[in-house]
Amino acid sequence: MKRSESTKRYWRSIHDLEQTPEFAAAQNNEFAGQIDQEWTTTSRRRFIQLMGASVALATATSCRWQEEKLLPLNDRNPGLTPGSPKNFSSILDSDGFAIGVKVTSFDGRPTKIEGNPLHPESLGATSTYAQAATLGLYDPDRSRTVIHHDGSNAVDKTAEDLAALTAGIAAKKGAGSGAVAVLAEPSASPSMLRLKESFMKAFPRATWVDYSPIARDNEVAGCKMAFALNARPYYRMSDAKIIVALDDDFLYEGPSALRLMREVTARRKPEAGWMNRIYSVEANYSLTGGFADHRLPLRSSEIGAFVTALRAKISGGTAPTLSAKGADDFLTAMASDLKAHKGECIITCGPGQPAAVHAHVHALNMELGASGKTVDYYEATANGSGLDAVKDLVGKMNAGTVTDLVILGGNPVYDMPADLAFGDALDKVANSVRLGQYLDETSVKCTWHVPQAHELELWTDGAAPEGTVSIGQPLINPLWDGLGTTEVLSQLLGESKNSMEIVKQTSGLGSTAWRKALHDGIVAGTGAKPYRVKLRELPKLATPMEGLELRFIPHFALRDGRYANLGWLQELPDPMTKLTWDNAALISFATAERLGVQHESMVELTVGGRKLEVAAYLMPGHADDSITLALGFGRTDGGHVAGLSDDDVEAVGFDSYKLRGSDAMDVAAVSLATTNKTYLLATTQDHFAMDDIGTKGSQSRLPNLVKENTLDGYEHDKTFAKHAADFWGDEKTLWQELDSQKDTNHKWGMAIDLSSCTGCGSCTVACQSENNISVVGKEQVLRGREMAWIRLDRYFLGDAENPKAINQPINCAHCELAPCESVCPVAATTHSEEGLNDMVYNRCIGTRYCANNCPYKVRRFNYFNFNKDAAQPGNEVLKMAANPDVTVRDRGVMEKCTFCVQRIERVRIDSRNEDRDTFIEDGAIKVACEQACPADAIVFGDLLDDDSRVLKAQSQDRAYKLLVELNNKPRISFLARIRNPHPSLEAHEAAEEVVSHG
Amino acid sequence: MASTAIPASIDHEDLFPASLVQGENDLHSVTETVCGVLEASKPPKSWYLIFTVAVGLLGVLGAMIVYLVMTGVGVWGNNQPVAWGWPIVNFVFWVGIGHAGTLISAVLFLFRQDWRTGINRFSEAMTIFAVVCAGMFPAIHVGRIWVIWWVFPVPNQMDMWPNFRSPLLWDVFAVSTYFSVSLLFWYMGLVPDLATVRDRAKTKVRKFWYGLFALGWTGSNRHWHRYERAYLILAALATPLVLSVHSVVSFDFATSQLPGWHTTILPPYFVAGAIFSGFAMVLTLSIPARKMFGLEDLITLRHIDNMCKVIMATGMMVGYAYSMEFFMAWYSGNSYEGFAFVNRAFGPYWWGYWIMVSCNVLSPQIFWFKKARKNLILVFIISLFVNLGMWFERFVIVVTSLNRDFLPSSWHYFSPTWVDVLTLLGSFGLFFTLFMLFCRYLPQVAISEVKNVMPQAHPHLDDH
Repeated sequence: MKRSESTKRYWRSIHDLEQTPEFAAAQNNEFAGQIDQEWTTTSRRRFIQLMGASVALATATSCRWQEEKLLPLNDRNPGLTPGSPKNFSSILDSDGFAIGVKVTSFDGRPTKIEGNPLHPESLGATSTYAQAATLGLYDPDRSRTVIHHDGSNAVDKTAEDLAALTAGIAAKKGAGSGAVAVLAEPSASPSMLRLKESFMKAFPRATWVDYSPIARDNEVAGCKMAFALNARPYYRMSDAKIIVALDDDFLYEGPSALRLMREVTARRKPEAGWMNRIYSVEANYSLTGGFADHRLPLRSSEIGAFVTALRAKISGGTAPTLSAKGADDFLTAMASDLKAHKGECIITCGPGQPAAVHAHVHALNMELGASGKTVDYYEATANGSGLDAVKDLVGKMNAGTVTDLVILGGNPVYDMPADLAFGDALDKVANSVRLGQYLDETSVKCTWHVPQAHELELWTDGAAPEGTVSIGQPLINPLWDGLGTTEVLSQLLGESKNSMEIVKQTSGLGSTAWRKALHDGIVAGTGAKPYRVKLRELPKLATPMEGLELRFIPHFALRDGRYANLGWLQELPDPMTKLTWDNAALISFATAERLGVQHESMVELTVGGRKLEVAAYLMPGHADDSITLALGFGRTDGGHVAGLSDDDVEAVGFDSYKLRGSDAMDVAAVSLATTNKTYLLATTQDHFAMDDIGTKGSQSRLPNLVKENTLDGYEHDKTFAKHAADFWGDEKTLWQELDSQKDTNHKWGMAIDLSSCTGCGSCTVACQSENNISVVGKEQVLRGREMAWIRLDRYFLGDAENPKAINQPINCAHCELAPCESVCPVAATTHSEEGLNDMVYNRCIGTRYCANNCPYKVRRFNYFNFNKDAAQPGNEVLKMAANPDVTVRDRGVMEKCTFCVQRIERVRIDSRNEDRDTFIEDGAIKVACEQACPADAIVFGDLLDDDSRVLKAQSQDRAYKLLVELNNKPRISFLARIRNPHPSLEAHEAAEEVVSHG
Repeated sequence: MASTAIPASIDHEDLFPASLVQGENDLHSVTETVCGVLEASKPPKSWYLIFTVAVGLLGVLGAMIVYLVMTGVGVWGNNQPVAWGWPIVNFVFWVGIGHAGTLISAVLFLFRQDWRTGINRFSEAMTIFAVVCAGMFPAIHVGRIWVIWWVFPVPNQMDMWPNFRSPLLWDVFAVSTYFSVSLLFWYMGLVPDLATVRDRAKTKVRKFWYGLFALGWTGSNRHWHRYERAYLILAALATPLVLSVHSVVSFDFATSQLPGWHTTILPPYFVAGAIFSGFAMVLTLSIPARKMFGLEDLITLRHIDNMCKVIMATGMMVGYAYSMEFFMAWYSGNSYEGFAFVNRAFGPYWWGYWIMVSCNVLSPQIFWFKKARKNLILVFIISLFVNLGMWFERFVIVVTSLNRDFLPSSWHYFSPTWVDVLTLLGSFGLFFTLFMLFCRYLPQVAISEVKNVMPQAHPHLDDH
């Protein structure tokens, strides 16, 4: 390498010329600047890390390209085609349980989450928040370094400092009782359970508390009370003909929601044989309530009385009277249905109900023969330690007993019951270590913050509620050198294993089984056996609380607040309120009138002396004397989306935790005071209170837009949906249809079954993720500029006291005679040969004429550059979340649903490569909304294929086209919604009409 | 106020019952009056005042456009479903105003309505400036103004023509044709007068510039002969444009399928409305201008009287259109159409609708009375009402139809932003800046044409 001086003519620097020793050394170092010091002085710890990483990389082609970035990829890895996406099975956490997912990865960059059809709780579907996991992964607000809070200074630290810290704690194995404490989140992960056990063995005097503000512990407590078992109910709704939900949004909440939605909706199609009948009794208008055939608004605290009354109706006894109007008829009908369908019915109870109510519901299910048939009981995992344990820990912290507190995930300073004042107690802990993804409310109060790796950056394992174990593969190396909870525990135990070693050790699988488990996303045969249960004597249920009640519910998208920094979820309209970027006190019309509360006025709620001002939202169908308030908002250190006080980013929504006390975590007695202040709530549909003209106008047209009928009505007139008010059959067009409108090889179309659609919004987020749809923010939503390509129109039907609800997903219908196409002056939206209404972004000049002329109003305009944030320094990582197959739209252009044209093209390319010419198998193309839909309500396919599911669906009696009278010939058919009401309750409702929409 | 006494110098008052030129005017004094305005060393103080305000507003417009182009059209109140808001309202408003010019200069010329001579220059100038304002709005209204040239059928490397099926493209042709023909027509009419100004010019600068634009006019018989032929041909060419421009503009709405837009009545209704608003704007401008520049003898009460009558007639036409729209909405039996109109009158924008009706249909009814037509203050106020009402007419058509269309889920209230308001005000700044410059530097009244209709131009009455 070294050249002799005499030959030197050109030199690079003074050092070069002078041949200083530094230069000579640098010159000899082949990888100057690329390889840090650690390579040359490898510690044992580093060696193990590197070896672990090597093994991980060797096994998981899912990870990024090789770590050594300095070498070009001369030989392509087998099976890896740059630009061609790969799918890997992994898992995501849902209330401590695992949901199996398939993650799409482009060149080692995960971009899209889809459900894993093999996983028992996914069945191929995904929830809204699972869809948003990629956004969470690339959230630029995630913390990137270890931070030590020394007094008021925050100092960045290195991995070595962290190692020293954990070693310090590890050295306190024998410290006094409770000196070392761990606060973790409930988890069913086998590795977490194993490490927790090891930890408690190694630190016999330590305290370990599992806490989640939305843990479903009442379920477990109810089973303990009823059966003396540590169990949770497990519903099987495929065979349930009568389903009763008591304050339970089972279609959306809970680790089994996706499966339950699939099972329930499969039985909502009249063509498929018998239809189930769903009753819902609840305070708030939930997704399940909207989907139910009958719904009774009832205060949450009266559910116990309702259960007692139901038991009395079924097996005799005295029934308490209920406050809700029509409760008796409702009960009678329900009881007669249940008695007529013993063994084919199911009663579910919401996690917000006290244990005793759960126990009585279990007893009812036993009586009705549901146990063992539609309800099973499995060993409860992912349990919280209970509030007593939490209080005990806080007491010890306050007493100064706890010297070292390790907080693994969660966000206790933010989400602990307010009366415990966890933040103050934390100040008294000398050494508090927080593993968290964000430098959030908890981390800023701890002495140490450790960046936590995202679920997609780690090897994880988890279990479904019935025990099936899954292994979660990482899709990418930790972006910010974060650690997993298991890795931190491992460090505390002095093992310092990486997540893969930990998971592999727990699984105990051989290499073949391991590979199969990774491929399938589940470890076969790990499902548990249900318990055989025996009912114990149950105490009588307490009498309901008097006065105004306040219910705390997890927010449908942000959950307990953990997803608050994800714009997709903030902007996802609530299924029933259509509210974005806020939570609000949901209150019934009658109660609001009684208390003098106006819609969008600020009200002051007081619970146990704690006060909170929050905006009121008058919610149709809400139970009287009850207020519902979602958790998860009002973050002060959530991030630039959720709220960040350090950067003057105002918190989104209202922090309900400030009202939540440890004595009343689910339902609390509350008093309400009105204020003069008003507040703007950003809903994506106009509010219920509309002028008379608008109300009448929608009233008269809605029966033509969202078609529905009872099962009897449908049997009577199967083609009722095809009758259109202003339609006289196909009209002649004034101009000859263009050749491009005559389909060549394929004719893409879609069918959406309103009978199955529950309105959960998974399609909306899936579409957002797949198609790089921008988040616009509250101000823009208020201006009506939200960008969703597929939206859910929710209409109420009947009186405001207890209306029915219906959802209608609306996306571009790809009309054959598209009104948008003819009006564009520059031909930026045109028809493809296969009938797609294509949008050519770089031809669009943004006249917005197309949007005006679209009768479905599915076109979305980029009023600003909504992707500006990604260009900010430090935010570039956001760009990685984008789907590289889809253009990111600039400002000034129109956009709308493309029928996932990029997915069509991928399949077409594959098809051509495999010499199948133009043939595309039905179902080979799954558009993003269809793929995510837990209700299987959306079918996409080729209308020229005689055997396609979409053609079959479109040929059904129930199929109708929206606004058929305009002769646009939309390619989407809706299948009318069929309800299955109880005959005795139907009479009341026959006269009802659609009165309004919200 | 102009004197209504019949001047002694006119001998044949029985043949000219209300002379088009009043006061003691002969051919020379007309030249003196008109040229005096632009030859005065200083314009009137009120000119400075108005010009300053107008230039200020023009600056505001410039600032708004810069802000708009830098930020995005989201700075306006446009939303989903109201994708067209104030900019398109303003566009149609200005195009409408730009209508009276051609009507007065071309149609009335062909119909030998001699009274047009007093106001035609004025209204043609107004037309051109209004079309300038109008043309600006669709251009700045698009999302990506930097590729606006794609709407023109220019051969390009993309091998792409514009979409000839789109009414917006028809607009491009209609408005640009109208603008160029109007400009040509106006300029041609100016040539003899520019030559007069050139001949009277005392400074070299004036001589040069007026001389340049006078195109070497000598006033020879041959010049006059060709001039009048060409003028007639241009008038004949421009006449269909009176009907076409606003008909085409109305196609933007009429050919779409939105309830409230999709009606066949729109083209005639738009044309009537355009003439209506155009005449109102001519009144709004001429009443102060004749006072300011001492043109009372040339723009006489008779002109104003005639214009009031036109306004009353066209006002009743638009009133008829309003009621016929309602009738058809009901008679068609189409529920969406029916709703669109009920919603217009009684929905969230009821006030807009009733401002429109009271300004456009009710307020001109006062012109049934001759006294009212002679009361210039009243006429001026009514002309302002009509301008306001016609702006609201376009607001009603654009916004109330869009804000509640087919699916109730999409309904959304539209409210403008401060940028919307300032842009509209700024467009008035542009208009008045141009107009004030015109008043100062060009003959406001067509000297040669006015002379033509004076009795002095017809010394041999027996020949008639």
